[in-house]
Amino acid sequence: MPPLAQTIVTRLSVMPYATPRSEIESWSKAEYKQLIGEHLDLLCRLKVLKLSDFNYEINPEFKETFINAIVAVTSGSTISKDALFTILPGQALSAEAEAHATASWKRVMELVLQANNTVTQRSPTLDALLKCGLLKRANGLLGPTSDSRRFLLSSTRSQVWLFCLGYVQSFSTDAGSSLVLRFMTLLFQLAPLVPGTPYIVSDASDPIRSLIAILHQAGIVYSPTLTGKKTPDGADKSFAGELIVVPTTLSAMLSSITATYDTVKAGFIVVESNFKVYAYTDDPLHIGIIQLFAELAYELDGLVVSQITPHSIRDAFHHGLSASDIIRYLEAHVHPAIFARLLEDAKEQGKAVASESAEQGDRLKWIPDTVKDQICLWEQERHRVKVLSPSVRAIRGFVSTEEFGRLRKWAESQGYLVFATGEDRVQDAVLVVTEASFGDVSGMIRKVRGR
Amino acid sequence: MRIESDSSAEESDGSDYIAPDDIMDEFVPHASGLKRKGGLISYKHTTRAEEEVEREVVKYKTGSMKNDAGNRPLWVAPDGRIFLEAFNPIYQIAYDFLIAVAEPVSRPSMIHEYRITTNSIFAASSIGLTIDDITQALMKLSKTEVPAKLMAKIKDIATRFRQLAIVQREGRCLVECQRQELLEELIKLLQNAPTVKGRQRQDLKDIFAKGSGVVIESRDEAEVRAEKVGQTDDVLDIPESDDDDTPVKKRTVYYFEARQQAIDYVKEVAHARFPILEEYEWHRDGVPPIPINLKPNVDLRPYQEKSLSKMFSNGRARSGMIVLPCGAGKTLVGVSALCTLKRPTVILCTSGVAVEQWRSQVNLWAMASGDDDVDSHITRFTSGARLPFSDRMHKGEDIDPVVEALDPAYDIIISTYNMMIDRKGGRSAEADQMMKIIAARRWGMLIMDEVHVVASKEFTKAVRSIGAPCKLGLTATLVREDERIKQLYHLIGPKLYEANWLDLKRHGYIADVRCAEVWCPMTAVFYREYLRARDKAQRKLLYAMNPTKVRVCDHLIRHHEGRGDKILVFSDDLTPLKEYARRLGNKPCIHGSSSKAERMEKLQAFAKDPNSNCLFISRIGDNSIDLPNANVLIQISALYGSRRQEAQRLGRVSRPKVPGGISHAIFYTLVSTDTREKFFSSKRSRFLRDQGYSFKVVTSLADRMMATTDGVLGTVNEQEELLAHLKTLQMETEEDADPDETKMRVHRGVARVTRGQKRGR
Repeated sequence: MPPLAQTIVTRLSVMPYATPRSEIESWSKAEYKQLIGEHLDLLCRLKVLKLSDFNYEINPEFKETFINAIVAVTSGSTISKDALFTILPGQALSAEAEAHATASWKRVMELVLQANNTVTQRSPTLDALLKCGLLKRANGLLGPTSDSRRFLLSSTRSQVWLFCLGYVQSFSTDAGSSLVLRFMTLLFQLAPLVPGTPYIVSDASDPIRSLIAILHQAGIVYSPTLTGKKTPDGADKSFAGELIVVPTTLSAMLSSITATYDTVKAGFIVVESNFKVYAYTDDPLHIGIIQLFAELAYELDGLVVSQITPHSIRDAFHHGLSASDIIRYLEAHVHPAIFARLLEDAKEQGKAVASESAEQGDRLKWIPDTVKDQICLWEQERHRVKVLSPSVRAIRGFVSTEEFGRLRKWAESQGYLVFATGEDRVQDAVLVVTEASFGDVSGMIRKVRGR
Repeated sequence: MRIESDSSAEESDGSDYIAPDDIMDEFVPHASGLKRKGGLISYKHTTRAEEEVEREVVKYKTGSMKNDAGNRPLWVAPDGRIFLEAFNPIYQIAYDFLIAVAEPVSRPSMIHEYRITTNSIFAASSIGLTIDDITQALMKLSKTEVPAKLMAKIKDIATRFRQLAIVQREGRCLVECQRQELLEELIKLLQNAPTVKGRQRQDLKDIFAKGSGVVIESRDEAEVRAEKVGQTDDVLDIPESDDDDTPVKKRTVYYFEARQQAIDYVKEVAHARFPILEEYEWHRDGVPPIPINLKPNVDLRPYQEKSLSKMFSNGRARSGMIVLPCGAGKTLVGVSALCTLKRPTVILCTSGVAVEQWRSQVNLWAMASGDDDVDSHITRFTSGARLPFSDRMHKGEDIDPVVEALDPAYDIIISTYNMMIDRKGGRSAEADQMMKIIAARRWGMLIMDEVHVVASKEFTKAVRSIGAPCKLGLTATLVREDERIKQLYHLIGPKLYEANWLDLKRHGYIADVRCAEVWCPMTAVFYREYLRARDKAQRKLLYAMNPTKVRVCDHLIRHHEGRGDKILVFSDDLTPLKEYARRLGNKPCIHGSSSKAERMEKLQAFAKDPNSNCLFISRIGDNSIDLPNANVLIQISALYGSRRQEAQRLGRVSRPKVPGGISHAIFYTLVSTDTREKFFSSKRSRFLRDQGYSFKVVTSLADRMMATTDGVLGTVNEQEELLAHLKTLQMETEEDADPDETKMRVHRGVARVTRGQKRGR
């Protein structure tokens, strides 16, 4: 949470009554009025605050736990015994932290994408991914799991959560299952910290230090001390030797709904109604991800052309992706030109479509309906045939029509017959009987043939 | 006597094989997956190696884009594929350029694809673009450096243009060229020409006039020019400038002499490497003009103007093809060309109904000077029509074709392709006489409507026999499932213009057609029978007559009749057509064996009578039947995977309903799921998808039909009765006009079925 929101929440939590907006605004200078308004909206969307009759009220449940948490911290309860975060006086390290986050997270994605039964050198990130279940190792080869592809197509926020949760949960089976609670606590402690601000972590136990190291490797936090630097430039030398952690946008994503982060800021994909996918990118990571569900045809400077085919989509399903994963990915990266074209068309037809969503600032999610529908239809196709454990048996290979006819009649009289076909050609004859009766039927066949 | 069956003049394309042309199309969205999966539904008879070549990713990275790449709209790939941003600020400029030098591949809403081919460069050269024009524009418009290899290829193709001429001189036939090495290359080509299907390889002795030895001779060009004057008729290639006052340069011309009979063969082989240009300087041909003009109130649309401007410039008329979507006014382009050229013209179309429509359109748009009526210059030549000399001939008068041909009544002849074919003993004495008159006259232009049907051997022969210096082909769909479309390029000429469907739709020139693919699951009774059926025709009948389909069709007809729409129901096969029409309330129905009068009457009723809102129609309705008020089309059965038929049928409802405004029409195609029809259907819709149409899959309609037993064929009993009834029927399909192709298709069909059986085991 940004400091201003924190202040608002702290103050409101001790307010005995619902507070009118004007009063909250009076807490600061007039020029911050708008900023406060924005934060209030945000808090309402987070359901921390409730607005009724222009009065803001704090969510009673939140209020209770919040006060408890504060009291617990001050009274030395267990909740954050593992680590304490205090702001390191000095300048912010936003740029450095973001660069680290971008590069490291990209590396994570690449590892997941490239793991295709290959031998890769061990690294802490790799170990973490193996622990998360996003990769697996079989016979010394690294391979994708059923979650890997879904991970790649998810939004960055989901990816961060998948990674953290997967990693933390991998400890639940170990002896140190209490670690799960401690790790989760750390994640929740980390989440509301301000990205780009260095914090000193004090009283960190060894498991916590190792978790922070993993988070650093993945780029979720940035720790200058772990990269070998003693202290951040310009920081007070007296903090030398301390573990210093800088939260990044990625860690902020664990809690905030406004923190957005994408490897590409703008959309880059154009999907056409003839199932072609044009991606404005040179990034091998993007190309690799698109290849998970489309067949590549052209790789040019800044443009990758691929084609969605029934085959490519079925392949994707086979590897654990769902129709909605693919559609969500495509929609999340729609090229801005599409939006412009839609507005233009709407204007021409005198309709006021889409302009609303433009004002709201939402990214317009648009791919052709036919493509969406078709991908869903292909998915449904997979569920048309269900494989059940056999309750019937099919018998073929009769020697004569006569034999077939006799057995069929017998099976029918016994109530064993489920289905029979192919009276006219013995090669096509099939007799289907219930599983339970199969023994009897085969006995009968032996008997008929034995004669 | 044959009664107007010429409307079935249809090529039998679309049988279930995929022609080499398709292999060039690396994107086969639906088919490819099926094909690769192998096993059950594999129709493509390509080997694995071929497929892999096809699928190779084309990679071209220069590593850097130009600084202002955002303002440049193109990417050019080394294989000639071009990607165009339709949202780029200079899209229109790039589009005008690309349409001249490349073939459109797909043109949906945002990014278009084009492809540079030998033919497209040929076409570009023929409208006067030089190598520099082409390469420099490409370099300017491209976001990155244009692949050097491609540039070299374009240069190579373009330099071959206009190099070769076939000259008739003193009864000798000379193949001339200014560069000896090119002539040698041609001889090598002739020596190694691959055997063309259905034709023996020509023996070299039969090609070259002077025995077995090939003699390349040379002479001075000044001499050649002097000789050429006055015999332009036989000159296929006219040198760039004929102005008498330019000083004549002396250049050496190399040539060899070919046998007269082999000249078509030489042209065909030469075409691949040395495009031959046919231009017609009609002002100088000495043929008296016919007094015909466009009416002053005729207002050509911008794309019609543009296509005509590609055809006529510098006082020359170029032969070639103009591709406009159905309903966009192809006829008007034809009539305008006629009025520009003002020369005797033969117009060929696909059916007797189309002949009538052409005649009325010529009367509508054109006027004759003086007191003359345009109609008095038109002769309709169809099997039923009365010819100007008929009465005299019956009186026993002798008709001299040469004298008769001078009559202005023969200025414009409108006929069908079928009439041009000489079936043994199939032609009446009158028709024979008419053909003699056609042969006796000097023609200025030949207009070929629905030109994609011309690509078949017999038609080809017929078209050659007319011998007009200018040939104009009109079509909406320059696609065929067999390889013969390529023949059109040397038979007629390059593609002069092709309009963008989506642009025309956006401007309201053609109707906005919504396409829906309605999935109709087979009912249990029919599916059991379908799985058992061994015969292809039987299966086709079963999926066409699928009771769910009948019910969905019934529902759609009722729904749209209720809204006051005009509905056309198309079926390729006659049995389903008749059955549907009968079962869904005895609706009017026309097909190949309906008489012309019956057809005209039912079409008239559909056009005018407010109580006749639904018409069932067979394959004969695919082409050039003009029903401007139809706005709903339901397709119940179709010609296998023919992309052309799908597009043609869409054209039946794409004529704008409100002049100038945006109007809507609906195209339903009913598909029986889990049958081969589904495979064909996805293949069929490919052309339209590439034009930017999207097909919405509708599953809910059939679900609703399946949930109830009300209405037609609702109960299992009724369905079994229908099945029993069908078993008594033979599948009737319309007669194919082209026996060769029919034979081919039957043959292939048999071959495929046996293969299928083998796989099934």
